[in-house]
Amino acid sequence: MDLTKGFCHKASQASSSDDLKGETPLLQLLSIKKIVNAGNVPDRHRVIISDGEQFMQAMFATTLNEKVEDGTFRRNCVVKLTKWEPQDIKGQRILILFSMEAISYPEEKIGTPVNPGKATAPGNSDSMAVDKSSNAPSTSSSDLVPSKPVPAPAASRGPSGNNAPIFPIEGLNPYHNKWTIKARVTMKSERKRWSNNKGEGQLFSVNLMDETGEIKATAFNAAVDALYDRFEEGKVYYISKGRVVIAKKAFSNLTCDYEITMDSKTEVEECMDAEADKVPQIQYSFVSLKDLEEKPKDASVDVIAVVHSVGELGSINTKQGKPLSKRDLVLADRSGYSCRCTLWGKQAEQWSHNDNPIVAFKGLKVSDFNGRSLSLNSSSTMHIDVDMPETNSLRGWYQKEGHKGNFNTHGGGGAGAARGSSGFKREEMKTLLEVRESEMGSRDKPEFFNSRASIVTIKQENIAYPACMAEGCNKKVNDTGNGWHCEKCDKTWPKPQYRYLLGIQVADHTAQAWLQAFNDVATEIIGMNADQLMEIKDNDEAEFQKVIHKAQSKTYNFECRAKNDTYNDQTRVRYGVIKAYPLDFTAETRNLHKLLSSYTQLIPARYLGDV
Amino acid sequence: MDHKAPRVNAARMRSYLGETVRCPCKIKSINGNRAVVELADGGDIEVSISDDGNIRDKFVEIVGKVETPTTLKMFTALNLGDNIDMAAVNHTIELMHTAVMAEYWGTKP
Repeated sequence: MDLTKGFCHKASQASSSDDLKGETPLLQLLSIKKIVNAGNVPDRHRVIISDGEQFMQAMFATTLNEKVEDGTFRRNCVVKLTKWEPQDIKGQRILILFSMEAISYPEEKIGTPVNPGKATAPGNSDSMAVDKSSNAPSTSSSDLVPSKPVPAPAASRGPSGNNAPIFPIEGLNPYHNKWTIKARVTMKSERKRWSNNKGEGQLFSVNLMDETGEIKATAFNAAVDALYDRFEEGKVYYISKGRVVIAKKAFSNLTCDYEITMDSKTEVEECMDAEADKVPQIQYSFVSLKDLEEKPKDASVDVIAVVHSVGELGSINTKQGKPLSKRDLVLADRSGYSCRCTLWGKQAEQWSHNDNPIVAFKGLKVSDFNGRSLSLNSSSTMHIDVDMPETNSLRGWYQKEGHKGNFNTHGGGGAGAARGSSGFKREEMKTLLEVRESEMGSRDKPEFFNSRASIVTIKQENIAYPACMAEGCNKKVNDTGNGWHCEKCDKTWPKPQYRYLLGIQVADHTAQAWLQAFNDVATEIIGMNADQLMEIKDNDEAEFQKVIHKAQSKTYNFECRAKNDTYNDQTRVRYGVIKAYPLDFTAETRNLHKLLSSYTQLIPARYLGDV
Repeated sequence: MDHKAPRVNAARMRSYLGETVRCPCKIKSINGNRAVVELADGGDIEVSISDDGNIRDKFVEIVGKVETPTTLKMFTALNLGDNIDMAAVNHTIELMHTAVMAEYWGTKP
């Protein structure tokens, strides 16, 4: 097996893999050393690669970790290297290996490769200050090619005692760890503690922003105690010696591909100089309360509004059974709309502004409860009476007009009136076959559709469940023998209130489908509420059959939501009925006319167009 | 199709002399056993009503034999309630009388 001699020599000199024009050398892995990292940072594997003549230092990209751990790439293995980049760390040239194929597994080292000593690689770390030709700060884009050393912005100076130039946040990447950033804390989270079967831990995070971008930085365990008090929201800091890792986007509302992990080595120094003001403040892109209708459920928005009223502090039980404080505010803005906004935990408990302040929120979560409502989550921030033009104009409006409280809301229709407009959109109707063939709902987000169909079968088992009688709580209650107990509200009731979970099979001229109808819709379809039906079911089977029979064969315009649902390890698309509209024959007829009018080959011109 | 009775409006009556048709219509007046009704396209005809006098609602569909382009001898009537969009009905009747549809609806375009 012949290795690609000369490759190491060339790679030691190259400034990027492009210099070797896509060569895919055969190399042998001489030794591999695992570097264990703490916390959530993945382990790294250092490796010595040989081309038969020379050997040099290299490192596997984390995407190859699995194949190193399972032995696909192991000591003495010969590989074909297909993607790599050079990097200079502490004056030493190493290669980062992104992808390779295992070719063979010889027993011995091939040849007698030597290391010619510290290679005179161009571009060691000092060259950060040298103006490299390339394009502007490399973006931290999703492909893992590490950026070349970036030219430092000339103006900024580092923190006292360290003259390292300031690195832009946009240029941060995991392969370059000699950086100092100067950034403002736009969000600081609370200390979060957890305990699971691996033990206990704590963390907190901050969002850092400079002129080039935003990045989240998290500290774990011991580092939390060391760093938590060093950061204050709104202030600017010099931060260095953190570890840049791949972002966990599920836990953050930022779009940056990377995050910083701060540990005991991380240095944080407050920026005292006048330069601090140049670092931008929180960037908002406000959405008016009226425009929330267009934002889908779970979207993240910025809002600035007056707090028209403040609700009382309440408490709910979380899934883990722990109590969680909550408080609702009613927000209003110049669009004439008001909207509920929910605070949780400490924010709910500590709210003390009862003088209709103007609040700027960033990163609120949109929900479709009551049409539209907002809530704060761990990445949301809230600033009271911030000095900006929007604040002043809102205050003026509120004093003159807004305090009267004549607002529109997105409400009505209860949970699930997600699309904000009443009425059945006939233009958007689909046949059941179209719904199934387009696999609606099988992707990440729920999808909506309208179909006209007739009920063919109503499932007679499990038509309803016993529910908590507390206002607004629909959770299933458990029969304790001594009453019916609700886990969420922690209350026991003498009897439950039944709520429908109706399974109905519907069909149109193209296909059939099973839909799920919840309480409101099912009550309309059956013609009586769940308590009544359950009583009939228990006492008079014949009457029960009559009721069910009457409800079958009826035709409705169904407004539905298709969504992926996981139950007992099985993920299937489920169709839920948001609303079932009885047929309006005039409207249906006119809609059919409209559809027919598009068949110009069949229908002569004089019949076309709407009636 | 032996018992076919295509839906028609006033203008179409002349194509079905001596045949059985259906007329959705609005009752304008009833005088003993004769009624004056307005058909879907707004044209009026006279109907000789059969004895069971089933007509109750404002809008009715009358099945009968075309005697002249403006008179119909009623066999039976269907009550259609008080809320019919006659313009939509008329458009449908006209669509049923297009060349392509005539095959399916047994109409005479």
